[in-house]
Amino acid sequence: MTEPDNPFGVPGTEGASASGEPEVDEVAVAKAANRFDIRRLIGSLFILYGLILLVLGLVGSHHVKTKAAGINVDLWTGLGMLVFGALMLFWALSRPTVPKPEKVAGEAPGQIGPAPTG
Amino acid sequence: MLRLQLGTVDYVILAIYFAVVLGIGFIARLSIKSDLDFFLSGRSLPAWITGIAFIAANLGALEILGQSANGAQYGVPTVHYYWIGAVPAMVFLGLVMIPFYYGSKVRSVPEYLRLRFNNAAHAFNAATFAVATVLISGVNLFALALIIHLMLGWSITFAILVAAALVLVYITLGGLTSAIYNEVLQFCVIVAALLPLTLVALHSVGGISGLKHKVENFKPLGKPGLNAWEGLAIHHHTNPIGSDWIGVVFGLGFVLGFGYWTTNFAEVQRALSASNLSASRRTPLIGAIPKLFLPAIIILPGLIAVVTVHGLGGSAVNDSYNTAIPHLIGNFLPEGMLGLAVTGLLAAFMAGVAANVTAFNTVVTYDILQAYVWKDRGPGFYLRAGRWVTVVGILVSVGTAFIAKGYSNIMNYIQTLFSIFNAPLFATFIIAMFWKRATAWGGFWSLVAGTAAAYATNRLAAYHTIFHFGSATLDGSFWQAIMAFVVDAAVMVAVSLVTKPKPIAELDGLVWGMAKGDDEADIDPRDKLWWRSPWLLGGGIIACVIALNIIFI
Repeated sequence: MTEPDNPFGVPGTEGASASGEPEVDEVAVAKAANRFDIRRLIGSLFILYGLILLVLGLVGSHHVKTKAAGINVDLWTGLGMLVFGALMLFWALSRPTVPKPEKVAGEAPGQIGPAPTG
Repeated sequence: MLRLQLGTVDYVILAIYFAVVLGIGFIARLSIKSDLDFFLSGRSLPAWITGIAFIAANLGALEILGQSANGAQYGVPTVHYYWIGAVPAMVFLGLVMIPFYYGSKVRSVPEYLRLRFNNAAHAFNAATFAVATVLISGVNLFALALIIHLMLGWSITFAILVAAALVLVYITLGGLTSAIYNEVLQFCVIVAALLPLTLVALHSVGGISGLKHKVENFKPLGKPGLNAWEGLAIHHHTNPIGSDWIGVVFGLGFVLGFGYWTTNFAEVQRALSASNLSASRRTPLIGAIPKLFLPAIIILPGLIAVVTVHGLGGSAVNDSYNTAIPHLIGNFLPEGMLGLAVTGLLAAFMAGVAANVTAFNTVVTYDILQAYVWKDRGPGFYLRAGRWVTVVGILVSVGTAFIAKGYSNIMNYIQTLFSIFNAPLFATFIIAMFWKRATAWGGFWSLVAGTAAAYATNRLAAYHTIFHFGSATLDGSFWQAIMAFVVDAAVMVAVSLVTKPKPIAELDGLVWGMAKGDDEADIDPRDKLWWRSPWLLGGGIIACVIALNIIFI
């Protein structure tokens, strides 16, 4: 089975959030939050799918290239997905997630409250 | 022939997607520390994510297959589901109702009823919601299995079990975060598959003008199939839906649409998981923007299919209207795109099941187990309980999937469920939020009476003794919803006038004019930017929806 091409992170982001000298813990939290950034997930998946479709659209059989009313739909969708995926990654890298400081336990909204009465 | 021949690359695309879905579950598990993380994603998600999840939660099998089937059967008038039924309700939710939900810090829709009314109303609503949700998630599961069966040839039973197992794994691991991430991912993939499919199919019929020409000359539809508002006169309805404008505007739009989008916890839960009040209000508003344009990739393919696929709309399962989109996929998409489209459909259907299951586990854990069975346990207890409730919810959904299998038209079944469970709830909510005098027992009895009225109307209509709804049953569900709404509202007012109202002090943040704002500390300064204003966003969306209605009049 083909594994996804590292869908949870992109190379070259190490240290991107470490401008200044924040505490080690904060850096770790920011890194984890960014690895799990859904923009990176979508971007990586779309680039992978885009490449697969693009290759099929280029080297596929005559049937593959013309089945969709004569349009090479793999080629064009592949290109579209590559562009969209690249934009998502660009967005994620240019505006990385900044995790909010954790709230003090018991003060966050919706904590377990007392059971209802009356 | 509906059976699709998937190639190696198609299976690779499918396998990659499922690997990513399971991966999300495992990673989300690492970030879950409390029950609030599991049930409401720790109230930390940005508005654009919850906004997409908000509509993606609804974009399951019933939406994609059902609305494209309506597009094939009724044509352009199907847009009423979007531009009358959904979008105005989403704007109303964002502008008017979210401040009550988010501002009062409730964790679920039933919990609002507990604060506003009493435990009886709360317990009744929590119980009916739990029942409705497992019934609906069973329908989703069955639709998913049916489409796997038709397209890939697996047996229905095997398909139900595989799909249920996948949903089970990623929700028990990652909770709502996992479900929401998959909804957003799924939404992107399904659009990436349906948009090229629609363009290619439209090209094959000679573009928009070619399609118009074909539909006008197509016998069951003709010209009314191209116009949203033609033939809706009272007593003279010639519209393909078979309803008049009262049924459409009041039944579908006001009661069913508002009832579903503003009180169904599977939807509201997405808005409650946003990071602050402003993001929460923008959730349904951001969701409304793609919703405006979804008809172009859902209804339009249905309309193209009915004029190009020979024999569509027949009585056999293989060529019922529900198979409009699968037929187009089989006719037009080559290896590669075929895999992407199948992946998109399966992902969308699983997300539909997951949305119901995450709402179910939250309501059962918080509103039934914590409220009435095991009070005052630690957060770890409720997190574990939530995981077990998820397992139970999915097992019951597998059971209800086999109930759904017994119904010949699942769309009618689902509309019936909505009109029984959502329509009365909306009446109770709207009065509770705007009328301080509404009393605790007024709330309880209105829910009971409204639910009973919807059910009774449904039974009476089934035997055609008193009510005649015309030939189309869609009209029936509109009127059933109207009946539930009217009875509910009448009982609410009558009981409230003879019982004692709650003290004003207890209604703080729960009634119009008394809504609490965001805590100062929670306000993100960026939310003061003019383009993040909910009123501007909502006003713009309403202007768009009016323009679209005029264009397609």
